[in-house]
Amino acid sequence: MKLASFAISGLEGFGAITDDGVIGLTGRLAGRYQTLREVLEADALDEARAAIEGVEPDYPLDKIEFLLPVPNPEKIYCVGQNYREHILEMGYEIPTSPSIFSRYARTFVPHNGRMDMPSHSEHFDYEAEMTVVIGRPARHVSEADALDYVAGYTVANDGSVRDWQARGPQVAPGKNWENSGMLGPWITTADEAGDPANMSVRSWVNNELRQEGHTSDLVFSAAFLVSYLSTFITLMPGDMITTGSPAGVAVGFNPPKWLKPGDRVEVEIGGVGRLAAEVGQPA
Amino acid sequence: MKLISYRHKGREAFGVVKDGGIVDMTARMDHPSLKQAIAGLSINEMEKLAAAADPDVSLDAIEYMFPITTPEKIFCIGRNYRAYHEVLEDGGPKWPSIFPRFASGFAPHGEAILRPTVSEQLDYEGEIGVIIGKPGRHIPEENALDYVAGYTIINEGSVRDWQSKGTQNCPGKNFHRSGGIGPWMVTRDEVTDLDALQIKTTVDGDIRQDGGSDMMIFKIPFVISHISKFTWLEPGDMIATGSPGGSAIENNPPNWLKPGESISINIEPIGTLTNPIAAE
Repeated sequence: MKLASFAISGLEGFGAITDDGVIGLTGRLAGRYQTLREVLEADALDEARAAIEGVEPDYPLDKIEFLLPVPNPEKIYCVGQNYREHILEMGYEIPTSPSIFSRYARTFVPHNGRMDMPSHSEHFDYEAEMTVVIGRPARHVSEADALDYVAGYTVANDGSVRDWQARGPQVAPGKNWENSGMLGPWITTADEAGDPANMSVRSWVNNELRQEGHTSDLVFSAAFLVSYLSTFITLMPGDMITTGSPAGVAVGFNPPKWLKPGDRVEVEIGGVGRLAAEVGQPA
Repeated sequence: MKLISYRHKGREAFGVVKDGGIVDMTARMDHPSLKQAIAGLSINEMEKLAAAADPDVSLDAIEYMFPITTPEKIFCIGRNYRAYHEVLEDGGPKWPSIFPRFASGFAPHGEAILRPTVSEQLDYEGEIGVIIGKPGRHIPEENALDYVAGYTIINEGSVRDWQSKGTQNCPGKNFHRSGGIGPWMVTRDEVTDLDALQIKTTVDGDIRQDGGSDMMIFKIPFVISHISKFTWLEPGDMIATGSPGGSAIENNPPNWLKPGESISINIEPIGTLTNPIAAE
């Protein structure tokens, strides 16, 4: 099942995305949930599954305006330097602990959205990332049990402003530019998405393939990351973890292939979905 | 004026602190929360309403909440104080160290800060917390304080060994309830000189930090302006502005916080933030 948050006729809600269109689910489940986060908090994915069984779509896909898959997540954690081949290629050592940082939701635009070209930098980069969506509160969960706490997966561009990443010892300023990343288009539930350690990760800029990796190359797996993060914080339904990006980002080219206004960025995670957005003018 | 968010008999409310009690603003205004009252530019109205009323509830009868119960963003500034008379090499750092935290990493005034099961290295950092009052992007440094609603106290509690796992400090700065925020906010007009605040941290009465905000390296107007270059600042957003010397890690041996202790951070004219330490 693919679940998305969207606006239609100015009203925000959520529903299921099928091959034939969109089934609106806002307020239609027994819990009268108004947001996808409420569905996850109620652990009501089975209810959503039952509600769409044999149901005709309410609208065609092109009538909805996508929102972030969970528009109001409590937390988004990100992982840096997590693809083995890319780390070795850069001449770094394989890390023993993951590099973790956080982003606020407003730093991402939804599917078909428009990113803001940074106003004080030209070093605007993309990072294709498989992204975990938490389904149940998780604290001190073992790696073996970790995937039981995952509702599904989505797609991210952990868009980065490289020169601002290097201003000060923490990367946060370069990772928290308004509308600098992408998230969506939907959540593909874990039963449908399959093994998070067996997903292809690709990105394109203006149809030119830039990144091509596979989650089997992750140093720290999705299951490890859920377990690790749950050591220090309670992961909550709707929280997301972007799991790092393979080789092929703009800064890796000589000269760097920075994003510019008008560029179209696409990211695809095999079995999950394909996410697209354009770069707009500085805001 | 001191503005507070609190729970009384199970009901969430906000109000004005007056004469050891609170004048309940929830009952007198349409705003559902202090964040929305601030966003609605209603600070003057609260002042008038409070002046005309007696306290509705005693401070002893409430549970404290974060002054802003659901801040969208909490940016923290690291290593932002020089020691007295210290001359920084090459004139000091060129850029501030900035990292975000989520509200779940803090406890409100009076509630326990949790010493984790996986580490003994729970440390404290007494800090001036800035609370944003109106939306701003690309804010010029010279106007930056116009965007401030007021100030609170933040204990930017840190789990030191987890700060240095990986390249980023995030895990050590995001432990569940490892810091504190509160007890309330004072409005901007009460702080006439941002360079003249004294941060005093005590653990069971033992003075650990006693530093003046004149030693701040990146001043509050610069920090607001700098952050607003990359993101909108919104009403209720907070900035923890860095801590003076004296954290546990600077002592030999480090005097980490332990369950059973009580930590207080005093910054006048804001007040005192106190939290017991408990085992997770």
